[in-house]
Amino acid sequence: MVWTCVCYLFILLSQESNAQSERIEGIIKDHSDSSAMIGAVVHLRNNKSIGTTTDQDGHFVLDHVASNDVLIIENIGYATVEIPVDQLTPHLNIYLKSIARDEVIVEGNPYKDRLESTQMSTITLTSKEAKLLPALFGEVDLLKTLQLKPGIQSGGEGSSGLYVRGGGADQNLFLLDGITVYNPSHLFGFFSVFNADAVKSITLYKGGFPAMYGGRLSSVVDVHTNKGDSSSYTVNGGIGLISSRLAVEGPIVKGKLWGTIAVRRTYADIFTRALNKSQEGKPDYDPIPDYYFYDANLQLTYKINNKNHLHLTGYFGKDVFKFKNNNNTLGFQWGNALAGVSWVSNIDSATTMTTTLSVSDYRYKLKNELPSFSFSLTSGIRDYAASSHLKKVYRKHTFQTGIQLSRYAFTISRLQAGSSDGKVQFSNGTALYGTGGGIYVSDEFNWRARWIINAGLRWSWFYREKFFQGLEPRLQVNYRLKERISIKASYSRMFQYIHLANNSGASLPTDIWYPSGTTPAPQRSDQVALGYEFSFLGNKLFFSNEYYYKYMKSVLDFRDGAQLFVNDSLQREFVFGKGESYGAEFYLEKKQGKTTGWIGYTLSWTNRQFAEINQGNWFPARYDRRHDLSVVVMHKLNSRFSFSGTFVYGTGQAVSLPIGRFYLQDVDGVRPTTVPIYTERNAFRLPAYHRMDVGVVYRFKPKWGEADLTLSIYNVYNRRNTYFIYFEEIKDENDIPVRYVAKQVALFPIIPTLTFNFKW
Amino acid sequence: MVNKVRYLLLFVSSMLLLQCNFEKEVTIELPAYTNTPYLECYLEPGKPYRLLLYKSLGYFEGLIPTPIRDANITITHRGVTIPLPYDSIPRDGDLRFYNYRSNDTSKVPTHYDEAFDLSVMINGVTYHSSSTIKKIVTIDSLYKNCNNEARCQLAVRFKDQMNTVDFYRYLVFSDSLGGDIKQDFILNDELFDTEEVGIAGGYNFNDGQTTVVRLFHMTKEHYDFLVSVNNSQNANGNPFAQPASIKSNIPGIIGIFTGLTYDNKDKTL
Repeated sequence: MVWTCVCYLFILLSQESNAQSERIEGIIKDHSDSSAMIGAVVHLRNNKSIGTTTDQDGHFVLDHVASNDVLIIENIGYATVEIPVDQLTPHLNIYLKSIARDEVIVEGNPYKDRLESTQMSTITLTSKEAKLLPALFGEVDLLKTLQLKPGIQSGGEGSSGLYVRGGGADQNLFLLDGITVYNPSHLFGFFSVFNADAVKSITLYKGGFPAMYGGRLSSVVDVHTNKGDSSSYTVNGGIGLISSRLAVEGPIVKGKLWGTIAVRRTYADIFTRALNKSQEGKPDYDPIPDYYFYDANLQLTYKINNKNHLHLTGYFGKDVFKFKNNNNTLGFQWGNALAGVSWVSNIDSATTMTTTLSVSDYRYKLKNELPSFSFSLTSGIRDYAASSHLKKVYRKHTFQTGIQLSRYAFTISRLQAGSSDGKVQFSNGTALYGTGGGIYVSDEFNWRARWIINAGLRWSWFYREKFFQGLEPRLQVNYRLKERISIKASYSRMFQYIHLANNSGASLPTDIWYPSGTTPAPQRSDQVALGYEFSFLGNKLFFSNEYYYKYMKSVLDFRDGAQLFVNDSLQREFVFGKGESYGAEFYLEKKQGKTTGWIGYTLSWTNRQFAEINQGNWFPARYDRRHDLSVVVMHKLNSRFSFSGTFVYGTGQAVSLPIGRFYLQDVDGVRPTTVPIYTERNAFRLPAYHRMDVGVVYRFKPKWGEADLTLSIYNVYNRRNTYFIYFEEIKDENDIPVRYVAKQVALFPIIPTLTFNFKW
Repeated sequence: MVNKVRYLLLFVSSMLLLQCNFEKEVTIELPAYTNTPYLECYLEPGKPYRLLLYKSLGYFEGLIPTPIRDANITITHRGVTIPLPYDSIPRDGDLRFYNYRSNDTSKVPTHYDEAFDLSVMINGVTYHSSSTIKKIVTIDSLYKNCNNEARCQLAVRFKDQMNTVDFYRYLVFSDSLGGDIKQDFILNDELFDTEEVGIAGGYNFNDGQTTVVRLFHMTKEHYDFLVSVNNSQNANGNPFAQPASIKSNIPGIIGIFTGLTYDNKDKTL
């Protein structure tokens, strides 16, 4: 079935001429929006042993190409491009009509680029891949798909929070087209803000960080959006259990200005409002609070000329919680708003410069109104950023350099309250400001026949109350033992100058960003990793094994019983210590054929030490997980049916439980209460977590486009995974305690969902 | 077709049944617990010196704590040391249970902001603490606000010293002292911009109901202790709460040694 829509490839190619054998190098871009095409397969028709995939800049290199061969470029959802090698010319533009993704047959070695790259500890995931897997409530979530890869854990059942190689939820840098996203979650972390219809791909770095990235200790999640089609219109959408979504892309001025807009909204509030209205006036009825979230992504591309484009990125999302009865109106809203404009200049086929100006804002507001009293509480962060990056490929060198600058404004627990008569007023809150930035340079080059080295240096700084700065060396080495076997090593130092006050496994809207200053000091991490990877069975399978050790200095935690909510003196709640994480990651992947998928396993240890916590002894972090296994299988039965399944297993979270108790008489002495006594931090383990999800996609073949019905069954064998454990006091009819019991609480049982998706 | 519908209904109802039972009782093996002493002592002006001392319990241990009977306890104030022998016989008017008390002639003096020193010797080990009694902060007024459902909220106004850091507790009893506690707030004055402070709660009272408000002016150590107690109780059952240890002001013993002053006012709403 050929799509009615048309997509194009825009290919910039250059070649180093050589009579019989030559090197071909180029950049592959999506013609519709000039965005780099990541993961496109580039290979030769005759010499099957030569092939590669494009990197995150759409760049590829093929060596030893015979002049009588034919270059083939393939990517899911795009037409296959075939060009005789002897017809290649520099800056060749090729426009082709796309075909349905089902008809693409990928050949060559799809792992060649990985084997040749110095980059290790990196995961790239496309939105199309994520859509093939079963999802909680049918909501495709790229961050949750990333959790299925080794070295990445979730914060808890259903959470989209990421814990990367023993790092905390505060140590991840989320970038949307290069703009920082400060809270990547909706609905208390159950869903991410990244709408799969608006996102093209995600690259997650868990180690071996390129020099261009900085500012967080543990990971960089670089999200690339779908830039839209410059020549024809496409409408994507879906109707699911909890939300619906719609994305429209196409030209505004054909060939000159085009874009995409993607929106989604949950609609449980429509039903709860109707229910509340029908029950209105009933004395015993408590209204159900309204809750919904929505988000909108906007992308616009303006083509100045063949070499220069302007990209506008916008995102606005909000979670809204409302409760109203006769006495009380409670409103709680939180969300991100960000916008940026990038000028991408392809100075020549080997030189690209990207300059971006952006603003990103996250805040929450809690407002409560009583007839004679009201209060509102606001916290947030806003950053204004400018950056410029230059990449130059010259012979066997790839140079990169750049500069980044950010100005931050923090609002910490701004509380305003008072009586309606104005006689009683009180307020609280702090506004803090900081400035930071970085300059970097790196070079990737071949050394002798088998070595590829990427050496970089980043200088970062931050100013608030004090001036902080640090050098961050980055080094990655690839030794090509054989054509299909690489040994890799990396070292990275990272500084983190702003910190997230988060002390739970969930991503809460009330988590507050706080800058370095007299206190807290910047955090620092040093990570080394060593690994090997190879493809085998005729490049059908790929295996990698990495070992890492990460040491963290000045990491943050909070003193026992810290008050993080409505507290404008958060610095008094911080405690500083050190952390370490080490482990081994194993990854087996199959990308080709009717059955694809991967198996990932991580064996790891994550510990923390603070003078003020646990009597100064080392203790396991909440997300310390000895074993973490994920199995992902996708099978395409025929052109209509495809199946997928995932299985995850993980050691239970480390938790603190009370081991003693006492009765507090208190000042009135009438009702003694039981008070638990906590001793060691995180000394207990929840039961092991395991779950299986399955999905079935049935594709319709309508004349107007594409449509499918997706059945996702989350937790198919209805495992009651423990979310938390608490101890309960059981009382008799006279309110006298008779015994104490432990109870475990599970969150999600089996959840089947149906989603209808369409593309027109 | 009927069969298919029946199977579909069976599947759906099975799914719904499986949604239940999110919470269940489990057995947790806790490590051996050392029964640390627990002490609670409030110095109330005009009342004898008295305190409660017993051994805390392992979480799943028996219900009744074991009193510590052989402790040697004294309280020293202005150079005078007062012994508190073991005496668990309740007195008329006692709201709390005590098992150590001074003789009835030794009363806590009304000496605000002066040190009282506690010494507790248990099995040859001596534990020390020190605290003060804070000056009473009087309630200026109580006022009510009722909604159209005849449910009322109660607010209290009092004056806060602007140049000192003060800690308060506000209790509202239903009907009389010893009745149900309808509201219980612990707060410090960092939030207040004005000398006149107002605290109001929810619509917890019926129109016409009698209430008694008690406003405590607390020591910092008492405030810290109560906050840590609340945090510890919240941490048990709240997956998002920070684990909390009890902030005792008697090193080596769990508990609180503090002065206790308050002002009462009643109001019929």
